[in-house]
Amino acid sequence: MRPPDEQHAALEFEILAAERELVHGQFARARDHLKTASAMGARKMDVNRLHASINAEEQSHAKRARLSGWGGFGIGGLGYLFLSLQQPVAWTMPLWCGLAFLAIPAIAGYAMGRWQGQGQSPQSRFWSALFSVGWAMCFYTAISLMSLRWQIGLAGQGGAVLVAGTFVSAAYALVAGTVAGVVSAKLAWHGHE
Amino acid sequence: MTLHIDERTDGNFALFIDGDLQFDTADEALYHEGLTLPALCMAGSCARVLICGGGDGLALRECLRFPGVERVDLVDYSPEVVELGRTRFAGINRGAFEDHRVAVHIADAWEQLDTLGNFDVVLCDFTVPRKPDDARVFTREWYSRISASLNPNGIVAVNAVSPQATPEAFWCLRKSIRAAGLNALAYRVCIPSFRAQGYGAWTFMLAARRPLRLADLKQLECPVETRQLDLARLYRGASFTRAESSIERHVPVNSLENLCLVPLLLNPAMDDGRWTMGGGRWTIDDRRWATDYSRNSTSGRAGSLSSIVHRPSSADPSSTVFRPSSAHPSSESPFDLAPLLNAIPVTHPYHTREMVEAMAEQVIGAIRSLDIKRLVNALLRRAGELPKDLVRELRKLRDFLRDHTPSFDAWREWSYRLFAALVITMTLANTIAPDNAFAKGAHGLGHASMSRGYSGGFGGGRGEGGSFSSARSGGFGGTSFSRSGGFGGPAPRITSSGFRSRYSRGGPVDVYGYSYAPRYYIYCGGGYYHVHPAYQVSGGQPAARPEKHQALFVADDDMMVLDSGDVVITLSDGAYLLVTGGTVALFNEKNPEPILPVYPDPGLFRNIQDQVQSQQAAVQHDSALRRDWLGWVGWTSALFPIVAEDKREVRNLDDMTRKLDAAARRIGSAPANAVPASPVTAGQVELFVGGYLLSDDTIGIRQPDSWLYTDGRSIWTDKEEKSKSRPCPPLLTEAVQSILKKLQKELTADVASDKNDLRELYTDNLQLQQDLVQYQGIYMSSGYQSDYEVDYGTDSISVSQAISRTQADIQQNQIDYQQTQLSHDKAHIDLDRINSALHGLWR
Repeated sequence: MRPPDEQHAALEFEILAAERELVHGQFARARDHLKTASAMGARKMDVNRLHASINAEEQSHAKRARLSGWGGFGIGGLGYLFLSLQQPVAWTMPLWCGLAFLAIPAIAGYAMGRWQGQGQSPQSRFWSALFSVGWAMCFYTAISLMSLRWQIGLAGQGGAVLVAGTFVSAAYALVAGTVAGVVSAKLAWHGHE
Repeated sequence: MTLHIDERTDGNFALFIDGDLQFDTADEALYHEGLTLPALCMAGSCARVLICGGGDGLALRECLRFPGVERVDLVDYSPEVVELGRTRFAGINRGAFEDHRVAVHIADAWEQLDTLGNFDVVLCDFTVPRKPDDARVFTREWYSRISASLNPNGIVAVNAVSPQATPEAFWCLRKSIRAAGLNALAYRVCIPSFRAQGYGAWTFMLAARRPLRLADLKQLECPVETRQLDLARLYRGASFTRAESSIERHVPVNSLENLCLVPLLLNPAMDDGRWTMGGGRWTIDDRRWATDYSRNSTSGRAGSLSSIVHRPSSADPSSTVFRPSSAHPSSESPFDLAPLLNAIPVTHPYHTREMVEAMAEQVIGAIRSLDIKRLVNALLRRAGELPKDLVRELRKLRDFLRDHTPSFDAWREWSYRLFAALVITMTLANTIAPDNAFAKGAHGLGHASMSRGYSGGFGGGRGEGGSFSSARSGGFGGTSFSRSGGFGGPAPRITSSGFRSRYSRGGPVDVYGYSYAPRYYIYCGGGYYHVHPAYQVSGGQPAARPEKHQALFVADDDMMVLDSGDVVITLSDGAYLLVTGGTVALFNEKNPEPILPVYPDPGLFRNIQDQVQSQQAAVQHDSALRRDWLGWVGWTSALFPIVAEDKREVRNLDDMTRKLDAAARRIGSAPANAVPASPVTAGQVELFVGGYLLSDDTIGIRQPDSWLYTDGRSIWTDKEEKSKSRPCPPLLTEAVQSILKKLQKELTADVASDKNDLRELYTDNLQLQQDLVQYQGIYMSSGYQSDYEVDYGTDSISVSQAISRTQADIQQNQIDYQQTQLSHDKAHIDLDRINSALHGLWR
């Protein structure tokens, strides 16, 4: 049995720890601290309030996580829409590559990571960003290639063009998605975990 | 069978059998003349006629007024209809049943046919079948039996169904007739009352053992006057598009073993193969259904049942069906019933598509009105009374609904919005910056189509510009080229592989990438600074050694750019003009040295420059597109041969751009003080730029410093007396002859083509006038209702629109006629002059 002061201090520590974890999106840990605080005799009103906050934040977090995929896709889509104002050749290749494979995926991935919060595991953030930005890049590439090839004509080699176009779209999507995934997983919450 | 006569206040009436319109006295003549007269006209003889069905006596009336008809047998299984024909309809069928030539048989035609003997004309005027038994008289077997009862030149006319509302049934019927060994010819007739019922354009079908051609319909000569049908225009309804006629391949033959016509009529979207008859009922092949599902579900064939089943009018209270979706106007998207309706075959006439639709909507509405979540929660509240397994499943369902339903809805909603936003943004981006991936590009030069536009577009209008070789007044004056269709047409696109595979390895290519046979020209450097044995131009220089140059680019039918950058304009098989360094020289292909210099007409140079530069721009544009493409995929050239070929093509295009650039510089321009040729005067014919056939059949050639004249034997200039003439070089005579002969051929073709055009325009004009009269007649007979619907081509538009459009067509037709007449007259005069020259001095 701890002395009352020490117990009170420990209880306060648990409450504060739960609140801190809640702020950082670590809901499981927050619940653990709250549970401990409750066992140590914390006031029921405080426990309930914190418990409700954790639940609300967790639900909100889950919703944000769901929407962040679309958000990343949207940011990527807008970025690639901007890029589509000029062809890679007109942008100059290094600039286009920098924008298409680095800048836009990085921005989208970072935004997604921040939006998802620390509650999501880095692995989950990586895959989420990879798919969202990858699809945006895939659409951008596929639409651009279709449009260009439509103007050029297929010259009776539609199958070969389709294979080449699909391959390139997939490859570009993979690269852009990977960049977005890495940024989302490693940089969005770097230093907080 | 139910008979219903719909009396109207205007004195007209209509007969309905089992809800199907049989005729309306307002336009019944269209139907019955359409059914009977073509067959009677086309039959070798029409002494014996058999009418199957047609108890109303209206088809009988048409037969009896046709000369040469000696006996008509009418077989109808309905005594009621025949009685109506004798009594109520006697006024409109003109007492046809009282005629002594008529024998009426109240019997089933199927049973009776074999007992009646042979016929010259058989008219099948049956009602549209509503149950499989009725379809016996539309089977292959039935038509085989009819074929057997036909005299050698006999013909059958069949009341078919609508190819518009029930295309599968229509083509099934045609296929069945053909399967019986008969040739079939279908033709549409627009019957307003049928159309008003939603039956669409109606069709009749002629069938005979002998071949039936469209021309037979065109040449119909009918000895009796028609009341409503225009037989001269009947053939216009006999053409079907390839897409329409392709349906025939997919539909089955209606036979006794496979009575598919009724299901096809009741289910117009149904295809062959998906439905099979088994155990006395129709079944569907699910695998085929699965593959056809999406196509059918989007076909949206509205009112498909209308030709068979009476569709209640909108004013009919019974047509109002309860639509549950209206209870949730904003929250519910409309449910697509088409797949469901296609999955429920209509197999009975009273089992209407409307009924199925209403029933399905009731069910869907009931399901939609359920709140599944509340239902599950309510059930779980009574969990104690439910089996444990069921409770467990319900809990899973509740969790599923909680976890998935909202996100799915959000996904669906957001994806629509996102897609719409993307489309709008791309459209805006396109508008702001056309040079992006989604644009067609702003470089719609359209120049290359010149080279093709000439050969086709100028065939009949030589005086307007023509090709380089034979362009006469105005041709090189700048106006015709500058306003030729090439610049206004679509941008040329490389659609062939000439720049990939054959460029610089053999024949020349054009801007479309088409390869041509290799062509070489051997000449001494070009220009007129060359010495010729027959004459020496002022400032002449020693001739250079002959060089062989390959044609690299076909800029026009007659114009080629050589690998040296020089331009050759082919005048005939043996003669050409070489344009280079601001000079023009006439060459005979047999000799590398120029025959004589030709005046450097500024119009010629301007047009060649325009041609070369515009095609160069087109090539550059295509090259830029390919470069953009390679910007994306170029790094995969080791993986994909097509990308490697694209790279090669870009290199070749760039090379061509450089060559055209060199050509544009090498061609040069006419001297600053050069003046264009004056227009040709009467009696003159322009053979090529600067070369004229004069009224006395001599040839005048405009040279840099004088006019040179020749009669084929001697040459002289305008600066010297004809008496001082010198012998004409044989190469020049030969070249002129070949040019004249080529022109003769072209002008002969032009005159023939113009004549043909004039004939067609005249025929069109007559038809348009007839159409106009007919539309005006309809307008009057409809009580001056300007919005009365009529057929206009394949459209149905208001009669006032039809009249105004027809009037506009007539006006345009007259303008075209005048222009073609002018072109024809000019070509004819020129041809006469050339013929005269070829039969005289230039024989």
